[in-house]
Amino acid sequence: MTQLYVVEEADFLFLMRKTGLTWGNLSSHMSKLEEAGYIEVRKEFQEKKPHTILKMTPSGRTAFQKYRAMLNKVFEGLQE
Amino acid sequence: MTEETSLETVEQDSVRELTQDGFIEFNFGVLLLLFFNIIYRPSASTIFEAWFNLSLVILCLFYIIFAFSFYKGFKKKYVYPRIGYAKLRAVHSSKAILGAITIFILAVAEEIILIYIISIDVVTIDWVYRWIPAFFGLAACTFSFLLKYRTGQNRYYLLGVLMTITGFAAVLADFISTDMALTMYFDGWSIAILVLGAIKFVLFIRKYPITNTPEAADCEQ
Repeated sequence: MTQLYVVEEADFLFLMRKTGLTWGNLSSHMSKLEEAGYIEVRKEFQEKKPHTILKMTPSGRTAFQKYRAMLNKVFEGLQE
Repeated sequence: MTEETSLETVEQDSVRELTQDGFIEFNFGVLLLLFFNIIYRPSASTIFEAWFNLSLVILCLFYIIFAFSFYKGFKKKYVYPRIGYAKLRAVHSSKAILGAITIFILAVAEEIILIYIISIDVVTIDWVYRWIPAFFGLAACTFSFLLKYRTGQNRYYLLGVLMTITGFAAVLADFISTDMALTMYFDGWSIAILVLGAIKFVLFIRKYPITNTPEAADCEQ
């Protein structure tokens, strides 16, 4: 989610390299995020090969921001 | 490290990843070479020179119109199959916008002051030509600050510092003519940056082999 949050859109290969996840693992994560409406999946062809591009939706961005705010609160509590 | 800082670090890491192909440097080098030679070339005295100047203008126009789609196609073929594709977000932080506005105001103020001091004969047009490398070197610092801000790499400061130092050196080197100083500075720097971009691209190609993704492999079977 963080990797997708800092860019406009990205493909599977980029996310695999940045997260260190395998294809299958990343694919299952992305399916769940797509079901939740947090990401959009676009399929196109590049050099006659299928190419999947992922983009975070506005609701995904809002959810991520809320999640970050929540985590911040948790860590603030720990510091006290 | 705050949450904002760590997000910025992740973004800078992505920018570094996507700019290691050398395209930014190559593009900057080509544009600098073309623009300098169009703007500064002395007026043509022969038919051959006139044709050459016209060809440069046409080449520059073609470059501006078609470079973007050419680079896009080139990246699709040689870059994305190696490191993947990601579209970076536009810079829209308040700090960056404020920086851009400040640079714009300073540039306009510099032009006004320059026109004024030329009009009251404090300096001559030759003096302005002589000082162009130093002004350009200072302007290039903004480009290097932007690259540092986007990638988080301090080495981009070096580009601005070196362009400024050599710019002042070109101004102060009395033993060479203004024409020679300008040509050496601009052609030298544009070729150096262009070559740097080309070397970065070759190293990039060698470092990252084409990765066959499972979806492409499934399609081939």
